[in-house]
Amino acid sequence: MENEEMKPSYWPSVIQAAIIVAVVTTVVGLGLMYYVAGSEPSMGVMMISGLTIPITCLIGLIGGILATRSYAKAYDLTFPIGTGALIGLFTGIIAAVVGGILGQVWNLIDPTLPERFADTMIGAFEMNDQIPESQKDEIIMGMEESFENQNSMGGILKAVAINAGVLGFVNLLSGMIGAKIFASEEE
Amino acid sequence: MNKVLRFANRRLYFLVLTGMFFLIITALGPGVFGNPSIPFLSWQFDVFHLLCHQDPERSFYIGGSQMAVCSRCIGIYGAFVVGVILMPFWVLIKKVKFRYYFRFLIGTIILNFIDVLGNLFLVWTNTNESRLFLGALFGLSSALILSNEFFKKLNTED
Repeated sequence: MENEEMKPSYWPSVIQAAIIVAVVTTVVGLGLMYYVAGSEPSMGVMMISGLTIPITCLIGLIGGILATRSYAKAYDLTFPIGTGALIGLFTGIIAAVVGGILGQVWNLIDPTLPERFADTMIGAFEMNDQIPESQKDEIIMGMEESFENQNSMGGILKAVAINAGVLGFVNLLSGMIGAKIFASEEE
Repeated sequence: MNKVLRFANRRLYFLVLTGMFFLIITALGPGVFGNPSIPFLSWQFDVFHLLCHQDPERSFYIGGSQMAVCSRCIGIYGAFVVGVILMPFWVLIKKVKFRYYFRFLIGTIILNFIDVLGNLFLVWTNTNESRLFLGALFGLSSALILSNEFFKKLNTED
């Protein structure tokens, strides 16, 4: 019960874990964009529009585990899974915001990357001879519009909002699991 | 002697259940909404692009459209939901100590890593079905480890 009184702040653990998640996901995402942008347009390139490194799967949701572990170990605390959920939620939201900022900073460093990525993807789609020409033009226009939207201020904010929602929720889950593993009293 | 369940952390339980419902619907991809043309430009793919490699060859398809997550991830999310729904029944049937749930969770993580590495180094070739199954074990173990936090079995005398 002594833990209930004067609990230290969990924000340092939250921010630390959020930065780790944001940096790792941004680096992996940029790595993929450079790979695609540097490739010749082909259906193969198009098929790896998602990340192809199996180990990177689920990196986005370790924030809750990292933050709850760091908080529990740093202060030798126990806390309920509700607190773990809150820590995970904040970690996910901050990771999404920091990731968005890192992405924009990189756009200042290499402003041509999104354009090169879009060109390769559209070029790859144009080579696809399984789609009728009439449909192809319409789809390519949709792709161009989509890439333009992604680079507009509205598109960037929308992406950050979507990432904050989904990373917030999945890290809420991992925060509960982290709290159960690292910060629950012995049963 | 009667067995009674005590339901704790109710709001959190229903938040998790509701959130998982929307997550699963999204994970099933644009095919569910009848829009299969370019899956990777859909909002469903945007939602999961930080969580899954979304490799077309490692994913299931609905209505000719790729799911927004790979077969392993859909197994994880699907089994997690099933685990959350089954929590009260599981707690009623069997009292399991935390350390066994924890061992189960660690075991499923190790199994998935072995599967990924075995496939990566060409020791064996896994399939969408095997990935789904191993992912489901991980998802289920993740839910079960929380079961005692939401439901507790009490024995009462009549």
